[in-house]
Amino acid sequence: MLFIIGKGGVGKSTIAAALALLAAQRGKKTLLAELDTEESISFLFGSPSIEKANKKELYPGIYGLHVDGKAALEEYLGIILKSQRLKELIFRSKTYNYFVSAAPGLKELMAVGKLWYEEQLQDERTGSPLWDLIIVDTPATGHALQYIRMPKAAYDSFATGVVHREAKRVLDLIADPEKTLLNIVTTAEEMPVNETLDVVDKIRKKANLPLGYIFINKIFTPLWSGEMPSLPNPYNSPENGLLRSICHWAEVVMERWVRNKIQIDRLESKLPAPLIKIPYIFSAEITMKELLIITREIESQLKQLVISH
Amino acid sequence: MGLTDLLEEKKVIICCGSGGVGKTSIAAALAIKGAMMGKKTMALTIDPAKRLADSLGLKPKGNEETPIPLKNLGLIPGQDSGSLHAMLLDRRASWDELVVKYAPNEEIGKNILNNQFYKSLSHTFAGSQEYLAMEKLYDLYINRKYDLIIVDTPPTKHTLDFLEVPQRMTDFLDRKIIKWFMLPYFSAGRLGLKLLGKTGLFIFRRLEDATGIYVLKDISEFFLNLSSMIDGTIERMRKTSEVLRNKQTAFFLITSPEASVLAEANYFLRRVKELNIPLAAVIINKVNVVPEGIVNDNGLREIKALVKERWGLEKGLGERLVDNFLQFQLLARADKKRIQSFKQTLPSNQIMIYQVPCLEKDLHAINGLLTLNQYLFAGGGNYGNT
Repeated sequence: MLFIIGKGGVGKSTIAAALALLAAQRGKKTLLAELDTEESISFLFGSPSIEKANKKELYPGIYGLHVDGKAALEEYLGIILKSQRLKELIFRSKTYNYFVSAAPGLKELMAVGKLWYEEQLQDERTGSPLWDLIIVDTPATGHALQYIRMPKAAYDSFATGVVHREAKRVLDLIADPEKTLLNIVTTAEEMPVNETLDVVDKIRKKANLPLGYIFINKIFTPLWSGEMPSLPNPYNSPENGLLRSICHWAEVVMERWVRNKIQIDRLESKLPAPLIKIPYIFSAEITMKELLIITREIESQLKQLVISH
Repeated sequence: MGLTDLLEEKKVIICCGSGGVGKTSIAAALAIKGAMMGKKTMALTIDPAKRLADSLGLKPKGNEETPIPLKNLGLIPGQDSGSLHAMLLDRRASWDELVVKYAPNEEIGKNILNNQFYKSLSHTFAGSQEYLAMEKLYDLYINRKYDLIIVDTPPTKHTLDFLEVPQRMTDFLDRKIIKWFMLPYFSAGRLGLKLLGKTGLFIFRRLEDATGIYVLKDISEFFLNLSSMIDGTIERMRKTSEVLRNKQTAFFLITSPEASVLAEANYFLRRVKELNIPLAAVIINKVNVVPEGIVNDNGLREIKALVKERWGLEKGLGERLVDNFLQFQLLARADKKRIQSFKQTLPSNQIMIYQVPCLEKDLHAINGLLTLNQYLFAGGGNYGNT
């Protein structure tokens, strides 16, 4: 199970989708689960949106799932409570809503529990696990950590009972480096890098969960090597705005490149995890074509990492 | 109404939007503008980049009103009355502080803090930052020390949830419900049974069995203690909520033209509508702008020839410079298109829209903020839907 964590706007869903494509290309049956109030992953695959708590094939071998805590709780209670009448009575009652809203973190716990449940599912014919890989696209960092910490909190809070037992199982899964990796997506900018360093610290030291890869997304690199080409006084061509623009955007890309490099250096010097660097994709929108470019980039860098280790 | 009018008229401006759109910089730029207009201005900020904090002279120590002499920034205000203060909200500020603050006495506060249920779950509660930001805003507002307060909100799309907090808390902390939660502790005494009724009690027991959360002693204790600090808290929340909705408050939505960010902006707009929030302006930051472009293959050939003739660069370099430009031209056109369709979705033509181009130089230095203001205040905005 691969969790994809990161600040808003860094491209978590894009990286999650590219990883799912890579897995599917290698013949792995992949579940791409999105933990958020709004679902956005289907858009990347050019597919209509996924209904809450439903699975949908987005691409051959990739199934999308929009995980919703409340729906997961109902599904869970549905399994535990055998009688149909009892279920109806409970789900329709006011007491139930109070119970759900008053038990803090219950929804988050149930959402992560749903992922555990998917991980346990078996193919009816072969008896092997239904999913070869589960990729989890999480909401912005702070909220993502709530989900990930919830099993431990619930395990500590409730000394006995089903929740305690469930929390233990989920915790065993997400804390097992053989099964789970927490991956971070960032851009090479100051604030996202600050947050990445902070989150890595929380994951490793406080939560003691297995850290995976750091994806540095949207890196600008000039199309020429090295320094800014020296141009004979470009700004002395007032009759041609286009020449000025060409010069301006060359400077822009150089400036962004330099800024990106500083932040990449920070990450390289401070992080224990392997880094994967994704170039900025110049495109009107991210579609399958762009996803495939990113997929190839990830694939080749993973190969290099394997060779160098 | 333009941005200058808004700064002139309003007492509170709340900047909300996703992370990474430059919200903190824009809030700081607006605060500087307010001060220059002669207002006693307070910038309430959450998590500024180090360089921004440094260039404003903001110390990392949180929750203190820090004066920022305009002279130190090399600025001369239009009117002498103008001044700038800033306050950095402590990121680590937690529910613990609120408990200590609102507990009627030390003992109850301690009881809550030591409660097992509270301890293990409090760090997973969402919204302590949002709540504390609004609390501070309320304090500053009733203090009347400032003419204008600019608030930078935490970068989540749940920022607006705090407006619902008073109502939710009232519902949640309704005495009756608290009594339900105390039931198991008092082993369903006569009072409890009466309140819950047979069905309610039955359902409750079933839910306990199903979830295992039937060791409710801690929860009962927690709510018992909490109930003693409810009244004052809810009252304050309600008053804060009133400040946020009154006529002297305006909300600004800050966004960038990226597809995923605009999608979140749309989510904000839906919430704005649901919660009936006075949204006054949308600022689209970091827009790729290419004023003059290459329109067709002919133009491309011409410009490549011109680059060769004027700059006489080594083989291929001139072409790569042009290709680089074309990449940004592509982005600029895509931004333009997305902004166009975003404008269509804006609910009314009362909301001003401002665009700020991607500024390459360091935005965090004072000059960067002043440049931002040039775009915000010089050109004027335009309305959506037109």
